[in-house]
Amino acid sequence: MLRLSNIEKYYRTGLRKHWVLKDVSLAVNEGEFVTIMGPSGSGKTTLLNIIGMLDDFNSGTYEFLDEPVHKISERKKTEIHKHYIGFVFQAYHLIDELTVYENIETPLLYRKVKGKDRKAMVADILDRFNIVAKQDLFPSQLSGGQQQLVGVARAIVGKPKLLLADEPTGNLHSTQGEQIMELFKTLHDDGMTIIQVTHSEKNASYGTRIINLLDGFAKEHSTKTD
Amino acid sequence: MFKNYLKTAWRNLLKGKTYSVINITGMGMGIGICILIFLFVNDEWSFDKFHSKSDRIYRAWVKEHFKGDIFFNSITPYPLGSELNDNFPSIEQTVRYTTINSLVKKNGNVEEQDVHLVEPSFLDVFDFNILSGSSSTLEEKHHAILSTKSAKKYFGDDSPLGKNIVLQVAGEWTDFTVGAVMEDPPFNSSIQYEILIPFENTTSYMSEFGMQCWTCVSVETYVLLNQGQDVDEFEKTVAPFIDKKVARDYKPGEYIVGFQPLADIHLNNDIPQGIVAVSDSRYPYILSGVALLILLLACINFTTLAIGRSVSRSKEIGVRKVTGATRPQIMFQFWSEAFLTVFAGVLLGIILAKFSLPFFNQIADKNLLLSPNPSIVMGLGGIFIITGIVAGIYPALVLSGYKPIHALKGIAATGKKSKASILTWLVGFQFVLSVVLIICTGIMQTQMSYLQNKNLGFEKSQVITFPYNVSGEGLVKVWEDGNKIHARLKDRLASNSSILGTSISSHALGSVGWLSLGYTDKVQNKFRNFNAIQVDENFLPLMEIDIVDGRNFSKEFDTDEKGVIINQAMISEYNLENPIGKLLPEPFNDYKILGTTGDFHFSSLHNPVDPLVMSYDMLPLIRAAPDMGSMDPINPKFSVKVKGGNLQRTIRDIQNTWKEVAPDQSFTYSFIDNDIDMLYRKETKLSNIIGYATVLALFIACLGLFGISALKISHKTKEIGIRKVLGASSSSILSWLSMDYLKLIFISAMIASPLAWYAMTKWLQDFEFHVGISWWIFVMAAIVTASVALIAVSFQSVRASRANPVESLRTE
Repeated sequence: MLRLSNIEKYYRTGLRKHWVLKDVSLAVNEGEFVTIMGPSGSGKTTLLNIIGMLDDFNSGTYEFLDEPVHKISERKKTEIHKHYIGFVFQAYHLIDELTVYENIETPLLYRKVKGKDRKAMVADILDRFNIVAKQDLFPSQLSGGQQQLVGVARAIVGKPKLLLADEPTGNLHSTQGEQIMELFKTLHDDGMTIIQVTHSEKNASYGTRIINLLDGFAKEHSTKTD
Repeated sequence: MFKNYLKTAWRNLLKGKTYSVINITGMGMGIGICILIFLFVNDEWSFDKFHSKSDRIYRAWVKEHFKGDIFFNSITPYPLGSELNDNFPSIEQTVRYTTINSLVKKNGNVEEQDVHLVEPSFLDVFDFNILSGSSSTLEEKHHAILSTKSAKKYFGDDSPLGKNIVLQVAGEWTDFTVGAVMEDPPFNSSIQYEILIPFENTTSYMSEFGMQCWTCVSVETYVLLNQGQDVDEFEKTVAPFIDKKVARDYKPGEYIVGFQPLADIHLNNDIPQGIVAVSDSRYPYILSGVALLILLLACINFTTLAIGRSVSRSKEIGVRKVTGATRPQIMFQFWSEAFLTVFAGVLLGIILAKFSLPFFNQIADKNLLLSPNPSIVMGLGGIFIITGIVAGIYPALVLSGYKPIHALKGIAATGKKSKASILTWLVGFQFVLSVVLIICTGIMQTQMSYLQNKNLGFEKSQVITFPYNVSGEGLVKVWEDGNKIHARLKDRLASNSSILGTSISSHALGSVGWLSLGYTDKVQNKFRNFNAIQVDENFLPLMEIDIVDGRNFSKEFDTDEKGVIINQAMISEYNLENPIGKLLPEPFNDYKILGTTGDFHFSSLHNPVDPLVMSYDMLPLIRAAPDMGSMDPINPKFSVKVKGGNLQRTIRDIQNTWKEVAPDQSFTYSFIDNDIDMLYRKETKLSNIIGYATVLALFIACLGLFGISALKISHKTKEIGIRKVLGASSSSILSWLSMDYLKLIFISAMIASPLAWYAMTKWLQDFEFHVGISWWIFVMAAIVTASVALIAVSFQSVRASRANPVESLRTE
């Protein structure tokens, strides 16, 4: 599904380069559930952002569904991630001024999905996640777990091919976290490709493969066998 | 999608209530004043355009080059109209138009009344509609058309048709039959009328010579050109024709007749004023400029507050981008927020404009209406769209450009520095504008008070004046009667202790313009002129005008009838050293100079004091002068000096006495100082509007400052806490928080001062006598701005500086 080769990312401070990612290569196939692990500051989030086309890289190549991401325009990138990629954040990042329903609806609006289909899709997700009763509440009226549930709902409502999650349970209690991870597992079982960043071994265990990042190097590719 | 934007916009408005109130109030006030100024400008620019043939109607002007002088007039020679009409097939019709200060008899009373004399074609060329009666009224010499207003005034609710109205034309009381009633001319018509009589009546007062004279001007001439006729072409064909007509006195090209479009009359100040009133073409521009700048202030508030809040908004932008929003979609969202605010501002503006319209009409001296007609709707639409675009431009273009990951982390990619500097520029611009307006207001008010308080060389307070309206045959008789009436009036008022004195003169002080006599100086071969007035021996003492040299007129010398008193300007103009006993220059050389006065200001301070000759008996002077002109008729005027105190009763006494001595006269009095104020009406109007605009601008700028200081301080809470923990006092925190603004105001004042100085120097040039621009006005403007700004900022900063540091550090 996607292939990163020799990706490098650095910031310049004066004449010195401060490396964030160095020579990272990685391939993810459709249907995988990959976990990126590593200590703080190892570049996990940056890597995830690069995969999600939210961040640029300095050198290397990146192909997403056979499109060379390093060559395509900003507009095209927006198109790709609008249609193929969903995001889940540690801090949920819901829009405070919108209700649960409206938050979930937002990506569909940007995708110009027709009103009737939109209603059906949002209703379907609300139903699936068991949050129909909460649809008219604002984020501030929900618990963290519920907010993240909405976050996930929003990420997948448009049926993306790839779901990216950055410490999705980082702000949650363990039970709430488990709930979210269970949800991810279900999504994976239904065929969704997922890449998550996490510190937690336990969360990693839900996935099919672990990549360890250490100071910007993808040190080890370990394949987990179920 | 759009619904979603509006929803977020609306909820954002509700969430930041303070900021929304600031924005909407500012916008509302800005838009309100824009609406008022729009109405004003629209009215000014719509003058005379309501005539369906407006684009084909032109007014003739004449420019004569005579012995080195240029005489430029929009009042034209009498024969011009008929000559043009008879000789140029490219003209469809011509209309000659003039006015006389006539009198009308009403219930035994005599009242002054302007009467306009027009040719019958007036009704075809212009779109003034007859409401009832005959459209051929102007064909009959002694028929008249009344406007609705004057019909009501003279005939009440009865139909005036067929009835008589008694008007005085050329000293003769004449019956005119009312043949028609016409609609009142619109306020935005240069040509105003109450009573119209046929142009034919000019023959009763014009001399045979005057009606053929090409060097005297007496009427306005309007031409209606044929459809498609080019006016420049037309002017070219007229030139040789005119050259032939005036060949006796002028070489070809020395006497030019030109044509200005009808719609151009009201605001074209390059062509001298004719009979119809004109306005100042600069005012619409000045006022629109001020209104737009005020609106810009409100837009800047919107922008600065948006920048101030961008940190809290950036997360939302990030989320939207991550969920697939494109930059144009984010731009659209910010613009829809701006438009929502502006829409609320428009509604508020309409309400504010509606309520303040009567007040505005009063200070602007207009009769404006705020009704939903197409031009206002379009104007409002224009204001709405432009304001929305301008207000939203910064948030839309800059905030939408944030990179999603940066936006999510709350650090805008563009960096803090550039944002802060844009804020500084915008707030600085507001300060510059405020300081400019304050300086202008300061200088204008100083000038206005200078005009009111300047020593004019006479005492203007507590003097009332009223005219004796001509009702005899010719000036000699009028003045004989006038003098008799004055003697009786003086006699009867002598016993009244509230009356300090009376006088009779051909002009009162505070009049729009005294008689000017012109002649060709044979020695210098040059056209010269001076002002003249007839006074009695009481006039100078009554007005407290001092005799500098020689003596006042006196009843004791019979020879004083051939004596004059002249002013300093006359002495200088004619180089009269030791003038007492000398004669006036030819052809006035049977007058001997008895005394001299200083240069008192008998005309407005727009003009220098011109040479003036005061005489006991002016008529021979007038007869000797080949050329005369006067804005003010030369019938007798009475001036009465009254004591302060019970003015109402004193005036009633005078009125009663007046009724006894002149039973057929109405009593229309005015105070001289009020008359003088009227001479500066235009400037008073402008300075008042600018004054109010300044207050408004300051208020809007302060609203923004209040908001932005709140935001700034909220970002500095932690820093304030740390400083306090390190031992800073409240007052040092306060001065630290205010210092930036003070610096900014100082720089703004530096930029604003030369701008304001330039504008005000231009404005003051209209006055021959004006105040100097002193440095303290600039300092004062800076201090006022600084004080007001600090007050606005202090609402937030005082609280912040007093707050317990533990609290502020904990909240971070």
